[in-house]
Amino acid sequence: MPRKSEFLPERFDDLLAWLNPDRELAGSIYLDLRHSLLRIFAWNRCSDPEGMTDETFDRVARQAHTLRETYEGNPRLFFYGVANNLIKEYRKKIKSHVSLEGVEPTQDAPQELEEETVERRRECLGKCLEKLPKEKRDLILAYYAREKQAKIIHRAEMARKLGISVETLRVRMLRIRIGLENCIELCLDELMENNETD
Amino acid sequence: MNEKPMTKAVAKRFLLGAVDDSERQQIEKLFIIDPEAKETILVAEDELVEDYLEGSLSESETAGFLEQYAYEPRQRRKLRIARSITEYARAEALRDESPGSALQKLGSFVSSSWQGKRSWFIPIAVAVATLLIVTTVWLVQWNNRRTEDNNLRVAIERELTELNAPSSLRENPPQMLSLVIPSVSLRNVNSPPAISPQAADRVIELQLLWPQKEESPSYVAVLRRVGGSEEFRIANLHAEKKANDNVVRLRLPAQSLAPGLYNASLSPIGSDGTPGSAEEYDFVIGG
Repeated sequence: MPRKSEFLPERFDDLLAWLNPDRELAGSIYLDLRHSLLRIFAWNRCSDPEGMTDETFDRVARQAHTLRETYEGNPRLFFYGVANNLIKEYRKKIKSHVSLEGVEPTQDAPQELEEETVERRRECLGKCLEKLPKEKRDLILAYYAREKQAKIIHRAEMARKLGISVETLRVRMLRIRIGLENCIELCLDELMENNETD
Repeated sequence: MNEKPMTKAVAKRFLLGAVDDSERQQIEKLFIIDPEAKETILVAEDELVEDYLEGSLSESETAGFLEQYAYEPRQRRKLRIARSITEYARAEALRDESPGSALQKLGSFVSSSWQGKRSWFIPIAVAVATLLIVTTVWLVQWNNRRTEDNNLRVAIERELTELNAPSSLRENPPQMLSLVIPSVSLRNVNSPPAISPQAADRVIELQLLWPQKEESPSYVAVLRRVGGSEEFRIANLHAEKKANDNVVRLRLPAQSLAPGLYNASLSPIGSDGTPGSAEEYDFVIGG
């Protein structure tokens, strides 16, 4: 069902204009929405969160011109409504043939293991850490340097030194980590693509 | 559910799949429209992943976690990446700790040598005396620098107050650059906005987008350069309507900002003077 998005430029313009008259702000709302929808599809255990996110934007974009004139309320809720319909459609389709039992993260499928070795992950992690500004790199490594009780004390000390609360520190680190994870994922995809073409 | 605020406990139940369908939809709606709720959920997820990797989840939580996060290949990959990051960080920390132990070894080597070879006394005494003289000179210079820094700080504070006075904000001076900055929660994982002032530019106006629904009589901004120790507090700022957004304008002296990553924390101040939940804004000053 899901497929890669093929927006017509004017549809995309309508979509952005509906999100916000300021194009720059509309762009950041679009990216934020995209990220949120990806998460929601993943939480709902949809097999292709990216494809379903594209499908959501496609469906909304087709109506964006009319929605600009007629829809009242927060556009984000409209996106959610479309996404939720997609989740329901997806569930109906998979109901009959998927069992969740016995799935362990350590029990990777052979294909996954073959494509994505520990070495490749380390290589990408190293590359992506290098891309981070030094301040951010030092912060994220310090943040994850301890575990359990030592971790709590260590993070409280980090927050004190930075003059922020532990919660603010957590949010800041979360943002860096998400960026780092995205970079590593892209890097792994590239490595796998190169491997396929070799 | 509609009226309940999003807490980490609720978020964790949701992430572990322990909510019914109507609660799931309510939470997902909040995730989409409410930046604070979104942040709470993402932080709760981050904690769950960490706890899972440390083996700190209970048996039932682990089962719920695996059902949610081990199902889809991309989720499994995210988990493996998270594990790689923590393992790398811990390995780096262990490596960094080794110079400390090397210093301890050096200290014990010096003390054992002292007991054995008293003839080293004179050169050591000379070295200590030299060190004392150098330290004294350095302290005097440091104190002078501190006085200069303090004077500079007072000057910047005065300039910030003047630039952000309501009467100044009504005017648009020439040689002013503007930068629209969404809050960290709204901007999400994208790079912080950047601006590079030229020698002729005198003022940078940050237009901080205020994502919270409630408006406050005034706002306080705390500005700091990431990695630096100083911070500047600018009080009595106000939100203005711009298109569909609430914007708090903050003006900075362009030539006083060293290149680097900056963070501004903006807090609403209630009519009784109590601060509310702050929003964070990051931006980069280019060289």
